[in-house]
Amino acid sequence: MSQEEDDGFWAKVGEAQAPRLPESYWKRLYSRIIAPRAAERRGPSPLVWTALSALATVAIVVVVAQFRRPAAPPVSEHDVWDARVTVAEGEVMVFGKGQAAGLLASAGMPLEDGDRVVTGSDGRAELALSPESLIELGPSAAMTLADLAEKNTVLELDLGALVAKLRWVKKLGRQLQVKTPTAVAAVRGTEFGLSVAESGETSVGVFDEGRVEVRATDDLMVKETMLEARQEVRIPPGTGVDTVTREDGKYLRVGELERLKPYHERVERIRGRQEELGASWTGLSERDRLRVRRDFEERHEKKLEAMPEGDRQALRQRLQRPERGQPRPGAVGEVQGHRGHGAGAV
Amino acid sequence: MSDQELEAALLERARGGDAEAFNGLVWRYQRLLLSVALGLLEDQGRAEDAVQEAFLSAWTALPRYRGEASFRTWLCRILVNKALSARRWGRLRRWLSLDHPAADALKETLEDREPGADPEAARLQEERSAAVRAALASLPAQQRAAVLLRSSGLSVVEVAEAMSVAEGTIKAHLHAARARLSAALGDA
Repeated sequence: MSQEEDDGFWAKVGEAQAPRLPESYWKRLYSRIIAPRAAERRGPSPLVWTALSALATVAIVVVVAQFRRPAAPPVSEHDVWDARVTVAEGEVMVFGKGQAAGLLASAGMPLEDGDRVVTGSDGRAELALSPESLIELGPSAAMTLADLAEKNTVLELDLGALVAKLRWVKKLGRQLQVKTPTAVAAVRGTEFGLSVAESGETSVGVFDEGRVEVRATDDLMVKETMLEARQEVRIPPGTGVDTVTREDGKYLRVGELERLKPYHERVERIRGRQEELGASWTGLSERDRLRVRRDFEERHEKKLEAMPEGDRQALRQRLQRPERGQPRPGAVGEVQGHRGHGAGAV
Repeated sequence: MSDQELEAALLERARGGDAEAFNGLVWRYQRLLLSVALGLLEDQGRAEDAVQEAFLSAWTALPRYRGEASFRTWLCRILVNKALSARRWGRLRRWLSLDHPAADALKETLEDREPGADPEAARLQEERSAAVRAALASLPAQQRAAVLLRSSGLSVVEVAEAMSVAEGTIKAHLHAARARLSAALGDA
């Protein structure tokens, strides 16, 4: 046997036996591997360590005396949110990346990169990136969790409204973007909302605190515009966006919070939920997350099997991921002619 | 900068105590190490522990790494020692009935489902993987380690270095394992 054939044989064995695990697994394993070393750095000499320990002790005393929280470690590019559904009311469906059939979501269901969450006309979903960072999706909404990396989280809201409250520590290097058919909102924090109409027209607003930088994707001549507390912008499709001209160029016209004002009470509710969740939250390892997700999938199948034949068929039909531009019978969130994203649209 | 040059640069910085550079090496090699550890230990949790310990040991021992073997081979040597040690300890624990046997642990391995993959092709691939893993599980530990390293892309010489045995011994291990694995792959 030639060397080439021998290499080929062992490569086939390697391919067959290698574990096929999702990218998010490797990111979490990586985080787990590197975590202990953060506290176990190699140092030049015991004397230096003694001096450093003394300095550290003084620093800790000062910090404790001032009742300050110790700094959290910076976010690594491989850290991924331990995201999950925390509330599902009415019809809430989750379509896994590339999966043709959806699942009926319920509280506790882990969420993964690429999941698409769709709420029915009676539906409402609360999604948690962590117990301190919550996103609520209103009725008739469709949103894809395009990237759950902590360093650069990307959500794609195709339709409906979301309201969010995040604990956002800029020093940790986290970024979150929400993309809609006509806008990109780069969230600096902390309480904000977006709504997307069937035409793709997007409203972005900041509630009582935080800042969001908004860009109109259809009109590149308009500069990124910063929204402060209780401000809002509206971005219709095309180049007819309302602007103001300043010395250095055109900006989106910023108004008082108006369209999104009715969602203000949802933010107040979320503030209370942060505390509730903080008390009951249990972090899940990647292994546990995948196992729990599988359990949800199995329970979902069992629930379907227990249904009368007619109901089961009807639900299965509603849980089919529709072709782009095809409305789902009896469901909302995918509307004919609706402008979607390349990656997020089905 | 080529891949090799990048690795050499990361290694140089890591040897100087740069943790970020070492993290880059962890990212490059965690898949290889987990694949070998999983094959040896047949339990995802224990395999992850072994990989974590191997990287920690490598970080601590990095100043003593002289570059006589490639970094990949050196890392594999540490991992194989950790995994074989964990195997022995696991056997002792089971003998003392401290642990339940992990016979079906691999069945629970959390494999990714290819989105949009042909279900029939996926089923065949799964069957083949199961057959190869079963064949691997039937091999003695040293033979299995040799197969896992060779099938992860190491040459016979590198496998011998990683396992600290003679090249001829590795050839004998691989020859003995080959018939069983050929049958599992459907090549026999």
